[in-house]
Amino acid sequence: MERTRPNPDQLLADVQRETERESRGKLKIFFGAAAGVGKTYAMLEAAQKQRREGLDVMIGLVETHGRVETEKLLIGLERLPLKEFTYRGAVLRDFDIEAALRRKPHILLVDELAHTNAPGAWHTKRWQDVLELLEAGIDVFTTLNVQHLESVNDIVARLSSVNVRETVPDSIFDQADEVEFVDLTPDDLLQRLREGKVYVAAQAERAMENFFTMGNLIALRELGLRRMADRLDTQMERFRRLHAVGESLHIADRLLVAVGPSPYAPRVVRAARRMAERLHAEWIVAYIETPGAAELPQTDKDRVLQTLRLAEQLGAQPVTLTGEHVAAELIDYARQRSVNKIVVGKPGRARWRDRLFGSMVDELIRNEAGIDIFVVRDLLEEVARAPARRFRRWPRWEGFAAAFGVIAACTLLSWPLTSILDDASRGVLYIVAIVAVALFWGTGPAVAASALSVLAYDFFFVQPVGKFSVNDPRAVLTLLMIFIVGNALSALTTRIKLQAKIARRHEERTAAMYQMTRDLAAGRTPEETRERVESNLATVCGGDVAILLPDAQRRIQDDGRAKKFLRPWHFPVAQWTFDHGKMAGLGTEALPASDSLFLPLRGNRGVVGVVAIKAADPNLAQEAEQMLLIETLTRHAALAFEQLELVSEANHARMQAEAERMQNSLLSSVSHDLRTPLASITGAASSLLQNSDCLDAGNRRELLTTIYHEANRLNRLVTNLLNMTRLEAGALSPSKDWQSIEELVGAALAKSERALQNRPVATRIPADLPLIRVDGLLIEQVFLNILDNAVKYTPAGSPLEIEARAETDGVVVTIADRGPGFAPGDEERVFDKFFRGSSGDDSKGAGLGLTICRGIVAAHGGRIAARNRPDGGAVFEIFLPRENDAAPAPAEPAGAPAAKTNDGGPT
Amino acid sequence: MNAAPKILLIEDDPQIRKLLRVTLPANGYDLLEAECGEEGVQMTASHNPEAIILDLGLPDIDGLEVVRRVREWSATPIVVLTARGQDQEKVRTLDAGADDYLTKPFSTPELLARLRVALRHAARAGSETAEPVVTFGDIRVDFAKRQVFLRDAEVHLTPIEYKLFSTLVRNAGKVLTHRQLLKEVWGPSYVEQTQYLRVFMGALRQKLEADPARPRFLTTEPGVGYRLKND
Repeated sequence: MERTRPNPDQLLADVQRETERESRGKLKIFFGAAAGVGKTYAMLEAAQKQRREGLDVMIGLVETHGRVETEKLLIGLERLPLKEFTYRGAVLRDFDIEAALRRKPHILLVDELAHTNAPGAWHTKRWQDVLELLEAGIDVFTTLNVQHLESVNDIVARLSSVNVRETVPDSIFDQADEVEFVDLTPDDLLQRLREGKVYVAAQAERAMENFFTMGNLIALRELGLRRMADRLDTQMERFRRLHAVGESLHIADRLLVAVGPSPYAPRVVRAARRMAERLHAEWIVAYIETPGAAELPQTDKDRVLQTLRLAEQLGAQPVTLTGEHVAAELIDYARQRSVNKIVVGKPGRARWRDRLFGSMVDELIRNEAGIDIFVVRDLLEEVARAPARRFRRWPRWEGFAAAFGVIAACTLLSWPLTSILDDASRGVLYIVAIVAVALFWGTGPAVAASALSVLAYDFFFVQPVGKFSVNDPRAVLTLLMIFIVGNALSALTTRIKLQAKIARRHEERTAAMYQMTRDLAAGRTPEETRERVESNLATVCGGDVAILLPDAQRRIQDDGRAKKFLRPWHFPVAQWTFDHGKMAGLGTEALPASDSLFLPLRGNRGVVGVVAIKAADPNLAQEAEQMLLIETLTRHAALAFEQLELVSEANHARMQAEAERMQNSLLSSVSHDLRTPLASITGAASSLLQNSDCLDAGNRRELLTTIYHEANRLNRLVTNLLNMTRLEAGALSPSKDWQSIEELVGAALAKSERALQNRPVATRIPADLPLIRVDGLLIEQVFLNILDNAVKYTPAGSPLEIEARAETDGVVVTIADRGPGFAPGDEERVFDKFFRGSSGDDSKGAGLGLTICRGIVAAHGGRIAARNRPDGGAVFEIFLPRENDAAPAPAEPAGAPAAKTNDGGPT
Repeated sequence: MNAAPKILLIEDDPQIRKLLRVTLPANGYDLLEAECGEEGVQMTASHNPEAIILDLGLPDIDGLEVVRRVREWSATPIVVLTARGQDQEKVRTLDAGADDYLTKPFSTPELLARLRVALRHAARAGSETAEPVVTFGDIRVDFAKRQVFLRDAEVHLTPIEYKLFSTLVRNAGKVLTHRQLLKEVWGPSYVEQTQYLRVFMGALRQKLEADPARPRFLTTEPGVGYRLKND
């Protein structure tokens, strides 16, 4: 039992709720005790008022039931046209949510919140439509009768004998921004009924007569008022929590509600909810699955499912436990979860059974854990009573026939051996037979078999033979033993069989999960993972499965893998599932008209995708066990996808870290290279400043020349560095244009004129060398760097040769010198960063020039290589590939030489 | 040119201003200074300089914008100073009407040469008479007779080649962008067809240069255009 100060989780939920409220539309419910109190009228009045204040109010759907005063209030309000649905040949008109979402008015009026939509609509219920409208930011006005609230549904049924089927979850009511109680005293209401002002459908008239009694109306009004008070209470609590006003000294209760397949279970759940609300307690609804549960008829199993769903809807935490002993399990679990109150339904079994077999409620009451037990009693017995609660399938007649046959066979077997077999052995034989029957045909036939065995034994083997009587009283003992032991063993056998079945099913489930997890662990790419998940799920569901992943804009796209069963109309449903994170499609409450089931793939960080299932079984969504397995598997899959995403993010981060590291190393190693020329410059400059008088013209000139040259060197270094940085950052993207190699070589030579210092430079570039698409400035830089390299490493005045030739797939340019060439093994390494020739002279620059060349050439898709020439010297060979398009021939009047282009046409 | 030609320098960097303050007057120019683009435009209007040196990296408005505005009402020659990596901007400025450019760091002789060329062309544009015959190196161009001679031997040029060459000669010393040349020789709809230009420049070099791969006159400025060097 915990003492609560404002619970931090609650506070967080509250704050989240508050912030969500900002963007959500506001819901105002006009709440009344019964039909005819004037809710629609009040709603329209409010709408008109808003319209007069200038807001964009629109009518989504309003039922005036022909009342003139109400109709008058419609004037001036824009109406949304209704949508037509065809169902079984009839045309039904109902609210058009798609049009409403498109139109997006400020306020939309949607009457009758509890209404069930026409078949074919997006949602089954109108309140679901309203939720979607709110989420889209549209404010909604709606009407609701108290009898439509889920939590009071049973009370109203009890009061009015009218079982209201259209219900609305209480959460909507509680979370509405405003609820206005439209009150009318029962007298006034009856008066209006007499005046014919209350609309009553022709068919329901008689029922309404029962409904509109004074007693009922008073009770309904009280119920409505009480519900309003409850709501205010909750709001008050929330307000207090949020604003930390006062300390709520609540000792938090926690309720545990036990439910079974009984049709009364929903009542118990509703009653528990009312209790929980009043106590402001958390409540858990538990179903204990005993080994016998597997034998329950499908209707019972479905009922349990529905009860658990209802519980969840009403705000409980549903839990399924397995165990042999219901009471013990409940107490155990209650202890674990610090539950201090257990709620159960009134036991329905006959008292003698309780005396004989023990009553669950009794055991609960006797618990040692200090837990209070509440038993919910029910006065109304007639409604939906299930025939014979513990009715199991009546075993097939074949079982009994078989039992008869087996015992007969047994008897026939023992008859000739009467002399050899003694009583005990014969008895054992019969018992074996009984067990065999139990094993193959179940409990019923087994009991029959044991009865038959006793009779047969008595008739054939007990004196007097041939008669159903006994001479020796001790024989009675034998007979009794056969009966008892036979039954006991058969009971055990059936139990074992059942348990084996359950175990097998569990094993199947575990195997499926194991298989899935193994497959997921092995998947390396999203594609692989996806396929494995799809095949696994397809096996489990028995149908077609497709996994849909969103693109960068978070839209589910048909990415062409769209298989077999996915059609264009499936994608909006998938998108809905993705956006809302809820199940949709066949068998669910959202968009049930679809023929496939859509499940969200929910990982730890939200919804990562959608699973589309087209199962052979159209009721798949209702099968609790299957769904549990499927949901577990999809969760694993979602986690796997998230994992892959995280891995790629980690890789990306690692690469970035790597790039940063390289950046740093570049900076550090280069600072030295920058400092050296700077040192010369500062030295020379300061010297000039200091000693300008005592220096002669020659010396001065020398110092100035030093400054000039070193500054130029610094400039080249900085250029190289900048290029290098761009290269490493991947920002070097060539802007290609048609270029002439001849021109680029010429420009490079012109820029290097001073450095070349009148060396002999021979150029052999054919006049008809085709133009090529490259980045002119970058390729010029390549030539510049290589020339610079040649100047640095070859003796002054030694010749250079530059050649170019066309190849089938590109152009090759070679720059050769007659210098010392490369040391063996250096031909590759010259292109490495910071590599300097074997002379190891620091003044030769940072060693980046050739690296940049390689980067630029690579960015063009070309190759660069260095080798030694056979007769001395080094040669650099650059290959630049040609793209597929030829340069179009330039226009020229007749008589002119044809253009020289890539197609190598004749001149 | 009686008085020293007025040169307006639009430059925000104080070091470069200092440099030119020393250099230009020493070479016979009068220097006016503006620190930002707006000031520069105003001073062009108020002082009417003979030439403008404009830095592209100004704090207030784009160098390109300055060129555009000045060109709306003035033909004063403009030489732009660009930094490395401003290639696209450079070309745009030239296309918008700047006459020439210099890349920082530049040497003073270069700057003075560009200024001279720019001033010369401006003066010539003022006077209506174009010289009928132009000579540089071994090449002689006779505009009247539309003939080109290399070492006194006539060189046969196709009409397009002639047009191209004569454009370059008429703007000798100045850089001409690809767009400008294409527009002048082929027409406005051909301004994207650089390959035409390359092919014909190649042909000109073949016909007129001793070593087409190392031209003396018909030089290439990669990324910008071509320049006929006559110094």
